[in-house]
Amino acid sequence: MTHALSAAPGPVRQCVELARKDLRLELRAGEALLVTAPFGAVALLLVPLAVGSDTPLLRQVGPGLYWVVVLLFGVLVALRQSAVDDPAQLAVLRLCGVHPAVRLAGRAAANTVLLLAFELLLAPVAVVLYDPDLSGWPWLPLLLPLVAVGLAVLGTLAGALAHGLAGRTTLGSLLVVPVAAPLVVGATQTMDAARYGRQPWAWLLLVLTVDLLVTVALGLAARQLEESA
Amino acid sequence: MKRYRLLAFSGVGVVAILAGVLFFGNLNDNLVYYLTPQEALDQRADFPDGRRFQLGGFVEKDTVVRTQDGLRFVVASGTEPGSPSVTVEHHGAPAQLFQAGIGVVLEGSWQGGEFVSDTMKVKHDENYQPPDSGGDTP
Amino acid sequence: MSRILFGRRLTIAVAVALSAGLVAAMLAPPDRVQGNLQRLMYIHVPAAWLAYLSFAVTLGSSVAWLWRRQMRYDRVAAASAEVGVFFTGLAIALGSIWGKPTWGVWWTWDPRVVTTAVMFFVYLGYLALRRATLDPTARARRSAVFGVVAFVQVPIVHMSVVWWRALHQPPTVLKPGDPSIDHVMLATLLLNVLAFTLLYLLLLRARTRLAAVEEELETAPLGEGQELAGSAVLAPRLERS
Repeated sequence: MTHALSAAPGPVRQCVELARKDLRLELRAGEALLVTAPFGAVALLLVPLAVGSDTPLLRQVGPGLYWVVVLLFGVLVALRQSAVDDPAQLAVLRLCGVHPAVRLAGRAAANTVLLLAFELLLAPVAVVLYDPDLSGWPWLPLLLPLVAVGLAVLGTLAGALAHGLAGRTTLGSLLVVPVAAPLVVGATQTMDAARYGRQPWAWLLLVLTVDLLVTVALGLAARQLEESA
Repeated sequence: MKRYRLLAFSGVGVVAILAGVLFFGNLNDNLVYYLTPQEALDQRADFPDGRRFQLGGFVEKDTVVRTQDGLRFVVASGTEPGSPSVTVEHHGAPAQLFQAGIGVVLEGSWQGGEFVSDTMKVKHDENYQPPDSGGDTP
Repeated sequence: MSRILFGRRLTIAVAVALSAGLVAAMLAPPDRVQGNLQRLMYIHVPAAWLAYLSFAVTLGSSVAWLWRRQMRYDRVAAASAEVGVFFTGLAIALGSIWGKPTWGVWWTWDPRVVTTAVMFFVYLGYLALRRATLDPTARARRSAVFGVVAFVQVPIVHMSVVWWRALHQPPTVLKPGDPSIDHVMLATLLLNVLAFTLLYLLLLRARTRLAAVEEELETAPLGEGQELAGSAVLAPRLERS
């Protein structure tokens, strides 16, 4: 018995395995990157058709539109169908002694990877369509993962809250999007600040704070959510 | 079944008529990607100073003048002399293929009697010829 | 496996045709206005032509499926749409690369460009629909209906430059009258179109064969004595009393 317990994988290992499982499911279903990402690209394509072709205006609103699309459709990535555990799966995980926080952390990690891929897929589309001012690009390698983490954790939380409900994706989106507003503000302001030659640390700090805040919230809420499930 | 078929046929008929109206009617004129100089001059009253639209035509020969931050040139509806034309003041770098006689599409607005543009696209035609085969442009 | 999928003779023919096309594209004279940039046409135009062709094949086999209800038509429709989406994407990407130096922009809201992008997304939706439907018959039926409806896009894309005033140049070859292109260039272009069409046939055949094998695998009965789910689960064993 003790031998079996000592051989049980630690929380980090559990988390990694759960994330790998989520990613493998996505690889098979292709819901996030093959359906939601093209949907987001269509949204980017349609906006200028509605606005009219005004190159300077589009150049100006391009980065903002990109972040709004990342937010709205990124929520759909986080709430995808393959990220739903059925009661039997939950029961098995509970029996195996996987802590609920570990389970949600694994989901959040998988969501982060997918959201980062989603952002990287949409970025060239936005650049080609809007031809924006890219002078703030050195900040992107820092900004993209930070936003992905924040959105992924929020999406995980919303997915847990709306678990098993009929209007899961719409309700979950409603829960996430208003809270994620600071992420959009932080992201667009970072790019703006970098473009005008100011240091965007304050805005990056805002995004980081939001990330940490929602991560702490997820960790604290995990057990409560588990009991109500 | 007969009723259903009648309904389907009338549906197709209505769609055909609507498509015809859209296609040959006025709407198609509003959906254009750019206006020619002739149309731009005719519709001058509809486009007050500052209202943006795209103007497309051919750069008239011997009219291109470099200015401080761009170019001044005349855009005409056709390549033959005497076709309606508009003087353009372009701010910004010209496109790589820009030259006298080539088609351009400019984005900007009226500024008095001139068209002030800030975005230029070069429109090349569907004719492909090697350089030394003569042709109509020098 | 790859020999079964691709075959030998057609693969050699494609390799020869593609290299001949490449050499011809390098040797063809440059354009008077665009110079060497115009050589992109020898890939851009065949890619766009293949997009039309493959969506037309999807249309044809979708209609055939609805008529005859044989699974092989469904496989051809799916394979052709996949190849078509790839070549549409290639045509858009090359057009964008060609557009930057000639038009001066990566992208513009020109009718041809926008309708092509819409066509790309419509057929991406077709593939997503196929992935999402699990039952083979339901998948074949739904995607056949969608494959017919989606084809509306193709004539719109082709005629967009004629119907509307656009930045994109009108057709050079596929129009009534003499093609307005130097005849050496035209021959090069046609050679490349032929090479790409052969490539399309090769890809289509390989993808159709792969789909057939996949289907066989899915319907194959589990072998005797094989574990149900790898070694993770043991089949229940009855105790002999």
